[in-house]
Amino acid sequence: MNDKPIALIADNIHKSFGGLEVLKGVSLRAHEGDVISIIGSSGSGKSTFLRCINFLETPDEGRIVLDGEEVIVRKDRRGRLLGADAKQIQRLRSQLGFVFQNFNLWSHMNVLQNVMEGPVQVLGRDKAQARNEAMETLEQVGIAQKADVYPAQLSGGQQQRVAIARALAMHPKVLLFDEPTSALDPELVGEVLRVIRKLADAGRTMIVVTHEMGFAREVSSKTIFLHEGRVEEEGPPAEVFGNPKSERCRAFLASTL
Amino acid sequence: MTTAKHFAFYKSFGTVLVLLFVTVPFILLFGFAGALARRSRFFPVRAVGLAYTSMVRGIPDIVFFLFALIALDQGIEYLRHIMLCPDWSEPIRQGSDFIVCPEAKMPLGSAPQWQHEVYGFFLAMTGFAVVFGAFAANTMYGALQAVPRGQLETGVAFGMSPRQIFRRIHLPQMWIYALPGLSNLWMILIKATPLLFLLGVEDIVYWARELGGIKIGLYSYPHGDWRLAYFVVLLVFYLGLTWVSERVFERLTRYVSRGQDTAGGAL
Repeated sequence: MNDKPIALIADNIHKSFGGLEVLKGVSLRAHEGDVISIIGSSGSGKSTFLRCINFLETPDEGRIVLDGEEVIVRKDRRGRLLGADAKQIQRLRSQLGFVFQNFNLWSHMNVLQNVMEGPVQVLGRDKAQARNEAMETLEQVGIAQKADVYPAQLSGGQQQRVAIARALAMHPKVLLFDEPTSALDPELVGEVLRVIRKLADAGRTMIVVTHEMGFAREVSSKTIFLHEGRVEEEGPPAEVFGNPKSERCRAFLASTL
Repeated sequence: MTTAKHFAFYKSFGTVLVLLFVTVPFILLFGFAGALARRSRFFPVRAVGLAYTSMVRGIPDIVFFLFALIALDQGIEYLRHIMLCPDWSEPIRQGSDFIVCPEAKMPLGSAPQWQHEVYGFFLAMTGFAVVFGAFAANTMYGALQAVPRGQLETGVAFGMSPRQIFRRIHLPQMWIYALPGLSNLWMILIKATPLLFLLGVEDIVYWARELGGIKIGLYSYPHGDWRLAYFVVLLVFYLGLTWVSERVFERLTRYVSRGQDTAGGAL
């Protein structure tokens, strides 16, 4: 089916908050160049799953393997997982670009500083080099002319493009998008989706949690439909959208049209 | 206007200014330590932080200066007494008197005047640092808690270490929320210097009262009640200090809130 090397494995991820089990064993396997879209109604666990991949939430059970390297964990007294090696987790996170729904640009830094921060602080890049690379990535998302302004002066769409540039500047192995267009005004959604589409065409490995069904259908190589913390349906988008086997998936798709 | 006492009056302006500027770093240090202690994940440290901020803030300044600092002073002398005068047989406490051997005196009775002044200054600084540090700690604690979680979480997602997140994101954004409270504290600190008199440090208010009072021919030169004139000088001094402080805080506030999407944010 796909003979490219595997970039990311998330295997049997479980996660509960309080007594509520949000993820009941979700798995995913991304080959290099894959664009996997995760869809589902709110509360289905999509965002939690994405956050478990880079350990923003520690999964209670399961394993994460990035580019052949498994996240080292141990169990606490109640049998739940803990990251065992903070340094390793930090390093793996730096290889997973994360784009948040609310952009989360650092408000006290201007656009250029936002993009340079990771490479300089985390990757230890030389400042001059980081600046050049930052300008190049800002160029890629079409916002280099705003390098000197603060995030609050930008529109939501521009902020999200900067956030994408900031993630790209880390040269991540996999990019994770957490509903990147959900906080945007409808007329600003297009500019962000265009940038993501361009990245997909350039062969980036990406996992995109989204409510944009048209985008998921056209851009992704694989679609996963989550329902109540389980993978209810998965496959090529043409099948998931065109001929869903699951009744729930069909109902969900009907409700989003 | 050129008598020794007048020079002491002029010098006391300097004393007050030096005290203010030397004390501020310590206030911030105590404040910082207190705020971090209250955020500690380790319960005993958290308890110490909470006890410090709530107890010290609850004690009237004048009580604190009279009690805690004099206790500190006597504690130092007591320790020196035990170490330096093992053969001393008389009780240290005699009624309300606190009597240690002459070698244990802080500073020594034979020490030059400047050492007495520096020691008094040290006590005053400690007092202000502890008292105002508690208020600063509470202000900074609140400010640290006010930084949006998403800002910090993004640092986590980028693989930054907890230290880097604190230094590069949490701390710079904390000042936005801490500055108004700290500026209040500074203003109160400026006005609190007359408390120094309690410790034998003669500040400007002390000297203004002393020199402005009615003088008769026996010493200096005679004059009536000039306190009003002296206090007007103080008024001008304090208002001047306030004015300068306001300008400085305005600029600081503008600097730390640059780019913030808030009502006061400077875009």
